Amino acid sequence: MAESIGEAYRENYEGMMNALRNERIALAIERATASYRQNLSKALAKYPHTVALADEVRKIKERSVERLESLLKEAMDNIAENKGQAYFAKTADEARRIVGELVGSKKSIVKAKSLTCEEIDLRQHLQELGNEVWETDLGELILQLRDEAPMHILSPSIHVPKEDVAELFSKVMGKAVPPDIGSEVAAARDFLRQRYVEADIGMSGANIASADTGSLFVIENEGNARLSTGLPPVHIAIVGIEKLIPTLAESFKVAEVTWRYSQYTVPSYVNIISGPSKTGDIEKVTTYGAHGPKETHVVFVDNGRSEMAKDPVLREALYCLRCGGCMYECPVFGLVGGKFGYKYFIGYGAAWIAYVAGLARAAPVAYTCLRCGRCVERCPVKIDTGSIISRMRGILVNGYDRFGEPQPAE
Amino acid sequence: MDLKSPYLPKVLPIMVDNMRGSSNPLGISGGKLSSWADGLDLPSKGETLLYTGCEYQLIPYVLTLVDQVKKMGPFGYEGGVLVDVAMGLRKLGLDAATAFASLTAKDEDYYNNITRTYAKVLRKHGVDFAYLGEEEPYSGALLYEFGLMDEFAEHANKVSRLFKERKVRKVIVTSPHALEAFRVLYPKFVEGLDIEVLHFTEAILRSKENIPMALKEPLEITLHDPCHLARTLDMAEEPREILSRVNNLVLKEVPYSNKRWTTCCGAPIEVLLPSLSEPLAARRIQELASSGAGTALTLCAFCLANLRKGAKGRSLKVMDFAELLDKATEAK
Repeated sequence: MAESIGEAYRENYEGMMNALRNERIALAIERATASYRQNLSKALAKYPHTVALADEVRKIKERSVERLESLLKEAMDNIAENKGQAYFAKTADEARRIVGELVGSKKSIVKAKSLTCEEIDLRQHLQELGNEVWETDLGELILQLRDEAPMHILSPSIHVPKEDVAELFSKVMGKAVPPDIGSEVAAARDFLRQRYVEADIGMSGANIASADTGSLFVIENEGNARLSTGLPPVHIAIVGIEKLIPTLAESFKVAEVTWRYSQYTVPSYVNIISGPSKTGDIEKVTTYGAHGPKETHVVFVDNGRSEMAKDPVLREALYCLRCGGCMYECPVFGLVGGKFGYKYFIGYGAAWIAYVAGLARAAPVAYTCLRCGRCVERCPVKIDTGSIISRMRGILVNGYDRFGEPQPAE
Repeated sequence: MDLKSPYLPKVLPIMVDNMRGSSNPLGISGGKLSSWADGLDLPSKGETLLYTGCEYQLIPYVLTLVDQVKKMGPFGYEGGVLVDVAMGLRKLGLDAATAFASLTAKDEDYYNNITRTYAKVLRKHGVDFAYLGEEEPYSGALLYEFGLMDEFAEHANKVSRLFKERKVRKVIVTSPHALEAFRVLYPKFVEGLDIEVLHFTEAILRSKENIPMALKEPLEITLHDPCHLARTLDMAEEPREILSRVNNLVLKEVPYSNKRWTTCCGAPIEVLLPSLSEPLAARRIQELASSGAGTALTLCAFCLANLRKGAKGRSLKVMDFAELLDKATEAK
């Protein structure tokens, strides 16, 4: 944590300048952007109804964010009814404590990608408690091995070229991995396979939580979330409360728009998890813990979200589906990637940063945004970054009381 | 209003101080900013006003300020320690009065002449207007941009009162930022504002005199849409409509990044973060060059200045829209 506002400005600036000097970042993002735009345009051409569906999803998100508290209660009740365990963490500290107590120490954990886990530094916390934690998403694994923070919400290692991956994997895995993508993917698969089988606990986030059934949606392509949430005897999910949607039927709409704007016609897997595995095959007696996990724990995290929901402008940021499309359209992101941000990226991210990490971290991001508005063109739910940035800057000028006293400026 | 918030980049309170003293963010006198109109004999009173927002005229000063800020570190923060930019300026022997001494007359002439060109082109198209001269205030767009909402509201009301006093009915603006301020923002902050606001391109398209436009030599150009014009104000077609009437001109679009998908030139952060703003401009120049045209046009003072920086050492020529229309009407 930056101890002062000046330091937050400096760290942010140095991060961006270092990224700017590394020309490979801009090159990698340029290539990714070209392929994103092409894939998205193909996906939208094949499923043209998506655009209107996205408008509908915006309305669903508006209605959901309006009543997070009641949705949370409903979801927690339904998860309990499904024989899962639901928890509510008001703060990041509380979330770490709850998960820490569930996990204990000396456990082996396989983890699917989760932005909320990044937000609360969960992996580091569990490692400090004496657990072994493996990121199973290929991009996240690369970053874990490089000890770096994600550069993009969906493609976290977007800035690492295949040559660097080969060098890294060869070193860590103790065998020569050639710099071709196929071999690298196979090496990661071999490396993680046994870890899934031996893991005590699997962890994940969720893209959506349906209140009326207590179901979590985990959208993915690699199959790592399927294994992480399905193979170990215990599954722990960390879910931001802004992921709550009233009904399962609406959740499918949110899911389709999410993956479509993530550039997929359809993802390989949509995992829908509503509780622990069970069977009634012997004498129709329901018994928990069949082939999948015996325990399902869902930790709902607030960490500033319900406060954000009260702000008439900044609440828009809670509608974000995390499709990542906006980032490909942001000119600053195009040069410095995830260094334009702090845990959350680009202009609209400043609202997230303010609530989850404080105003000092949000300030440089709010003043770096160009307010050029191209992210809004891309956004399926039309999050109004221009208004969010104006509002954030207004708060930085004189409205910081709602965030508590300003920190001393050195 | 407390501008001592520790979260503010330190360069902002200085701009606000300047606005209080002189109505523009850099504290430049109205006389200097209106000198472009010398000898044009523009009336100072009339129902229709040409409003420049002082923007092109301010550019040389902005460029000089950016050079000073560069020495001061990002956001006016340096090495984690707050640097008071005013103090810094003084330390460098550059107080507000002398800060702009290094201004080059060439820059000043170039940007003043662009405003003059806007006025000339409007006249050639039979559009009559008055100009407030040294009393013309800045629109305040930058205050809104930087989140100084109270100051913006105060300024917007001041400007509106002036327009009312002068019985202004219609304003023709040469800047997307001023257009956005008057058309989108002022109505939210000012009661009972009843003035028709037209962009330069709208004024040309509505003029009844259909002036023939042609270039002497064939020219391939591309258009850099200013973000606020193309997206916020949804005006990508107006400039293209005008260009389509110019004989001997071929418009070559930038692949993908045009109209509502235009890429920002980097100017919005040129004062706070010059070291990021400049590579953004260079990137945009690359995109514009990929259109295949040798000349890029734009219609915003800040885009023009930043793109010219980005084009240094490149073969792509950057011009203002008004410069081209001026050429197109002197050809015959």
